[in-house]
Amino acid sequence: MLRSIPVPIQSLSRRIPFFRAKLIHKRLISTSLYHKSESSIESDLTKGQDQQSRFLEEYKIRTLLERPIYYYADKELPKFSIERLYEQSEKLSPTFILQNAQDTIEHLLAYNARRLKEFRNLPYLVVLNPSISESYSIYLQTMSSLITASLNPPTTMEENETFAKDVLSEFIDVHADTLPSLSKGFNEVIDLINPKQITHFLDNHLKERISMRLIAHQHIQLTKALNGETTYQKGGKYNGVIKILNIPDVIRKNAELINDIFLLKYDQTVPIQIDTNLYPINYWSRQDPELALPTEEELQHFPYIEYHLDYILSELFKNSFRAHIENEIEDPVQITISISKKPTSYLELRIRDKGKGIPSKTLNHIFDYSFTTWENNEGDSYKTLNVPPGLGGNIVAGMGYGLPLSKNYVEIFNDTLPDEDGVITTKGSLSIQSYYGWGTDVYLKTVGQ
Amino acid sequence: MIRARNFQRCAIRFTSSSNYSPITSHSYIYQDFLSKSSKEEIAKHLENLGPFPTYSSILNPQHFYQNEILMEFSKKGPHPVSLRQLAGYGNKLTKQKIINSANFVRIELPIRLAMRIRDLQTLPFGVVNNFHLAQIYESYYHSFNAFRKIPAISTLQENDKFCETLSTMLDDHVFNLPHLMMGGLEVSILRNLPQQELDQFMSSMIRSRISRRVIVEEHLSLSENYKRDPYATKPPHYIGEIFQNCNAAEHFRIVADVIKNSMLDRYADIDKMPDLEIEGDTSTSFPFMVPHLHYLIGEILRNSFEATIQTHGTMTSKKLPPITVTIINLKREVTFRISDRGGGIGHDKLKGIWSFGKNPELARKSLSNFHRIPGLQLYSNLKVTPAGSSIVNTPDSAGLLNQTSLSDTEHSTETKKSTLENLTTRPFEYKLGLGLPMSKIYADYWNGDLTMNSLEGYGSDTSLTLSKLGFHSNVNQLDRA
Repeated sequence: MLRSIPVPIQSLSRRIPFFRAKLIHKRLISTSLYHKSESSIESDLTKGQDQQSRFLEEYKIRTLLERPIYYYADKELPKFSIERLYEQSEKLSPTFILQNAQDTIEHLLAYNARRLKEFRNLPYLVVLNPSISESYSIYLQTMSSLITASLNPPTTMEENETFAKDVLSEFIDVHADTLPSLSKGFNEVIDLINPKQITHFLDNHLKERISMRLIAHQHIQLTKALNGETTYQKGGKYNGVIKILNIPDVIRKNAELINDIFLLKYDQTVPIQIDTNLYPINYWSRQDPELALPTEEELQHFPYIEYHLDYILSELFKNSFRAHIENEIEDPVQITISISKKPTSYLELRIRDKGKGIPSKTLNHIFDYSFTTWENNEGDSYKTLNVPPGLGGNIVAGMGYGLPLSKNYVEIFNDTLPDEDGVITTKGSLSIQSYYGWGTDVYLKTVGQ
Repeated sequence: MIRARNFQRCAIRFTSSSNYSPITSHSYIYQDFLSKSSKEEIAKHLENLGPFPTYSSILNPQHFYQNEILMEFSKKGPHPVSLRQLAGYGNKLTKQKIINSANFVRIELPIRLAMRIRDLQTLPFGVVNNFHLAQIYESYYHSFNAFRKIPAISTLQENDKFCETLSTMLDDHVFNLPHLMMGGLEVSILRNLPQQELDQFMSSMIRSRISRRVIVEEHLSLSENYKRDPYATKPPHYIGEIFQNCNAAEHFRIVADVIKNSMLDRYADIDKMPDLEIEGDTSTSFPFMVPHLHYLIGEILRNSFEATIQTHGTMTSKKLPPITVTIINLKREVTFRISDRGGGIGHDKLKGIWSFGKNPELARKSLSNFHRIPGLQLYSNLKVTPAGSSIVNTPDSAGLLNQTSLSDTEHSTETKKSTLENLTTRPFEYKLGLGLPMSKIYADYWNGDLTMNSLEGYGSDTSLTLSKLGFHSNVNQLDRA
C-alpha cells in the first residue's frame, strides 16, 4: 500500500476554503509526491505552524479580555453611606489620600465592570444599536483607562493631582453624555426587548452611575482640599463632597439658572418665594423649652452634596416653572425650608406651585422612564426638560429621566439592610402630591447623619 | 466502492504525526489575568469587545437600521416540504419542474437564514460576541444579503448560474459547522448561557443547517441529472439523488476501518484492535445520506474503540474484546445496537453526555483540540463588491469547476465538501467532546433515535434507530427551518 508523506493542508494559503485545499492536496500527493524536495516540505510545515502561532496569540488575548470583567463585576461593593463620606474627610492627610486613590480605582473598576457585564447581557441586536453601543464603548474605554491606572497608582501628591485631573475628571466628563444616547437607543429597541428588562437595566444603571460619579467626585474634592484649592480643615467633616450649604442661596441659584433658560425659550421668567420655619420644633411643646432662638445660620445652613441638590432642584423647578408659564400663572412658586439639627439632623423642602396639577393616570407613571408611552394627551406639564448634571444650558426635551434620576439621587443613602433592631432607615425621599386643577406639591427630604 | 477508497485515502494522510502544532491541549487553561503584563495587554485591546470589529463589512453602526429588511423576512414562515416534493414528484423531470425547484430554493433560503439570524440576535451580546459565533453571524448575514437579491429564475441558463452560486455558498459555509461547535465550547468556558438554552440554540441551528443543505443539494443533483439525461424515468419511491441505498453491514465495516487507522498513534497494533462482529439482519439495505450515516456510525464506533483501548489496552497483550453490532430490520425503521466492553460510564456522567454544555476545563481542552485540526479554516473569507454588498463569488478557474455540479465527474454532488466527512476521519488525538450531542441531532432529524445504556465497569450499549426514508417520503420532513 502506498504510504504517502503527509503535506499538511495549512501550508496552503489560508484564503482557500478548506475543501478546495483538500482536493488540491490530494492531487499533490498523487502527482508531485516524488518531486517535492525535503526542504520545501519543511518550509510548508513551518508556514502552517506560523499561522497557528499567530492565531493562538490572537485568540489568547481575545479570551483574556473577558476575564477581568467577570472578576471585578463579582467583587463586593463598599457600603454607601454619609458616615463613610464624613470619615474620609476626617481622616484626610497626605498618606490617606494615596490610599484613597487606590481604593477609588478598585471601587470604580468594580462598578465599571458591572456595567459592562449588564450591557453584555442585553440581546445582541440591542447592543448593535449605535446609540446603545456608543454608551457601551465609553464604558470599555474607561475600563481600559482604569486598568492602566491600577498598574501605576499615585505614590506622591503630584501624581495624585495628575490622577485626579486626568483619570478621574475624564471619567466623569466622558460619562456625562451617556443618558441622552441611551434614551434614544432604548426608544429604538423597544420592540426587541422585554420592558421589564429595560427597567431593570436602567434602574441599576442610573443608581450605579450616581455611585461611580460620587466616588470619583469625593476623591477629586479631597485632593483639592489638600492642595489648597478649597478650604482644608484637618480632621474636619467637610473636606469632601459634603459641604455646608446655604440652602436659600442654592435655591436661588438654581431658580435663576432655570429662569435663564426659560427666558430664552419662552421670553418669560417665574418668581419664587422662600420661607422657612421660624422657631425650633419643640418650641410649642409643654416641656420647658430652651428658648434660644435658632440663629439664621442654623435655619439656613445644612451639610449636603451641592451638585446633587443642584440637579434635583433644577429638575423640580423646570417642572413647576413650565407649569406656571404654560398656564399663565403670575404667582410665584413657593419654596418652604425646614431644617433641624436636634434630635436628628434633616432638611425638608416643599415646592408648591399653582400650575394646575397632574392628572392621576399620569401621576402613576411619573417616576417611570421615558420609553413607557403615556396614553393621555392632557398637557405636557409633567414632562421634564431633562439636563444631566454638568451639561448646563443643554435642553433635551421630554426625555423623562429627570424625576426618576432625582429620586435616585435623594435615595442613594437609604439603607437597604436593617440594623440590629430590624429598622431600615430612610435617609432621603422624594414624593409628589398633586391637586389636579390647582397645582402640585413636591416634598423633598434628606437626612444629614 | 469509490467512497470507500476516498475514506481510506483520507485516513492514510493523517496517520503520520508530523503535525506539530503550537497549540496544545493546555493552551487555553486559565492564566493569570491579574498579572502586570496581562493587564497591559487587556487595557490595550479592551476595545475589541465592542460590537463593530474593524475587519467586518457587515457589523457597523448602520447594520441595526438595515436590519429592518431581515425582520420582514423572518416574519414569513418557512415552507414545509416533504422529501418527495423535493425529489420532484412524479416520474419524469421536466424543465418546468427544475425551474420551480430553483425558485423554491431561491425563496426558502433567505427566509430560513433570517430566522436563524434572529435567533443569534436575541442571544445575549456577550455570547454572540465570542470569536466563533461572531463569525457565524457574519457568515449567515452575508449569505442572506447575497441570496435575497437574486432575481426570479425563468430559464435553464439562469438556473445554471444559480447552481454555481449555490455550490459556492455550500463551499463557503462548510466552515460554519466547526465554528458553531467551537462557539458552543466558548459558551461553556465562560458559562454565560444556561445549559438548556445552549442546547436548544445548537439544536435549532444544526437542524436548520441540515434542512438548508438537503434542499440545496437536492436541487443541485436534480439539475445535474436533468442536464445529463432529460428523459430518464425515475424508479418508484424515488426520494432523491442524495440518498443512496446503503448496505448497513458494509458501511459499518468501512467506517470501522477508517477509525482503526486513525487510532494507530494511540495503539500501534492494528491486528489486536477490537474486531467488529456483526449479527442479526446482516443483509439490511436502506436509503440514507451517506455522509450522515458515516458520521453517526463513526462517532459511536469511535467512542467504543476508544473506551476499549483505554480500558484494556495496557492490561493485556491479547486481542482486545470485540465490538458487537446487532442489526434489527423492521418495515419502517432499522435499529443498530452497538455493544462494547470498554468499561462503561457512570450514571451521573451518562445523564450529561447529550448536552453541548461541558465543564469549563473540558471545554478548554476540546477547544484547543479543535483549533489544532490541520487545515481547519479559522477565518472566514467573505467577499464583497467594491460598494460593499455581499456577493457569493463564483470562481472561474477551470480546475475548481470540479467542485460544482456542472462537472462531468461521477457522483459530483458527493464530492462536495462535507464538514462531516472531515470530522469523521479526524485523527484520534483531536478529542472534541461533542460527538454524541451532534449525533443525536442528526438521528432526531431523520425521525430516528439515539440512546445509550451502560453497565458500569463492564461496557456500554448504544442504540441507533433510523427511519426508512422511503416510507416517510410524504412526511413534511424539512419544516425544521
